[in-house]
Amino acid sequence: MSERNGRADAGRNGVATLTVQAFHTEHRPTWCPGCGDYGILTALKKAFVELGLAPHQVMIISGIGCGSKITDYINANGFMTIHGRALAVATGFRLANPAMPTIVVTGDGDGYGIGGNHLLHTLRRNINLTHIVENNQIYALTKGQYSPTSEQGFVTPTSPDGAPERPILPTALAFVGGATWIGRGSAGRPQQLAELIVDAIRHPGYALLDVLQPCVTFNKLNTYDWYDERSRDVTELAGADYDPSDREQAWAMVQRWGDEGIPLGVLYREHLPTYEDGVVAYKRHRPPIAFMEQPLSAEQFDALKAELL
Amino acid sequence: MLDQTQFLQQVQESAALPDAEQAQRLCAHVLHSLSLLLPPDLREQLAQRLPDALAADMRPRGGISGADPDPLVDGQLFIGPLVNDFDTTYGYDQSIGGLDLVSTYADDDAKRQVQAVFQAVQACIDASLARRVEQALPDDLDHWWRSAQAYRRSV
Repeated sequence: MSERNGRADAGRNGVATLTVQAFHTEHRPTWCPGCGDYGILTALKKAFVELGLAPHQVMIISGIGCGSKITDYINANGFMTIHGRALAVATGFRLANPAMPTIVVTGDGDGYGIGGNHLLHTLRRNINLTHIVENNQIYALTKGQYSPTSEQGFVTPTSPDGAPERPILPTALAFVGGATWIGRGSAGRPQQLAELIVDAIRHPGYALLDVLQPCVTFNKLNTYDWYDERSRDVTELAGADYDPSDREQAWAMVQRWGDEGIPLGVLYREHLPTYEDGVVAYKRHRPPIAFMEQPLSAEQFDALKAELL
Repeated sequence: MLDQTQFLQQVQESAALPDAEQAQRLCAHVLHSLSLLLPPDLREQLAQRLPDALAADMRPRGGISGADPDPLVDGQLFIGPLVNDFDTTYGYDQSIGGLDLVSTYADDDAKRQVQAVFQAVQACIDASLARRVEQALPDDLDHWWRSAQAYRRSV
């Protein structure tokens, strides 16, 4: 985290005057012009401001992929991990510091493919993480291979005759896996997306926010226009009295996809104890690492750091 | 005020597009993106000044095209649908697989093409309406609008 814009600004400005400017970095994104990731970055910054979270008060953990470079483009604590392992690293981070809001950012290939096993176990654990999946339905950083959410028949260099498998529908998978908050947003609707991120961060437990994110370069099927024509607020599809805590209504909405309408909004919400609530070690004998008395003084730590760097 | 043929012809020439069909697709993308940034009354006033077939692209399609502008839409999201329509890959990458991408350089093309449409739109409206549109655009787009005006004056 940059001292220039991070702790210094947050300390000087305080929460009351926090603006998105505090999250700006000098790094220019290397994303393609028009990429949906820009909308997600904007929405994330806006959400932090809405929540009054200064750059030093939040952690972003990403995997590998175009969108996972977001940790370079936002001034906050960040950790770009390895492909498919962001949830595992984030789980470790949360256990070490359960007081810090933790956002996990992955793509669909990273989150639903390579990291699919970690996803399954994070769903049932209900650890307090906000998982934003930039779902562009393709592996983009590796230049255009089909992903777990690509439509069946989708032609790419790795599926020249069309993708043979049926795609994962992440919202339905999350529901049956035990997620306690499931939502979908669109990179093309950043204001609504920011509101969803706020709601997801406030949720006590694991929150999966699947984001429709057009890849302007490699996905010529699921374009801005394709999503535009199909995306509807969940209340428009299910009725104004839609209740995301009603499992029957939610099950219908998490399965909905494609030409019949793609619901946007909070699709499911349930309150259950979090994983952190059940960590016996916290209660019996050991506080989380972040709350322990540190074995090194600040001076000793700085000296050690200087020696290693 | 331009009729539809004049409008498309001007866009085609300014954007150096090979045919009117591509000019029409460009206009559809830019006008639709523009409609997402303007408040409903301004959007409707502008639509009324455009040739009928093009004005339809300014009106809500349902779904994402809501009644009110999204204050967080910026220049990148504005050009997104347009770049989606560009030829963004070149050929098979023989070294590591996948397709070589050329979209990294698409921002200059996108700017030129957006300004070609802005220029034609400005030929259909008066200075007062043009100022109101400019004020409604995000910071990273309003200078595209202004420089399109300057270009028009210099032609």
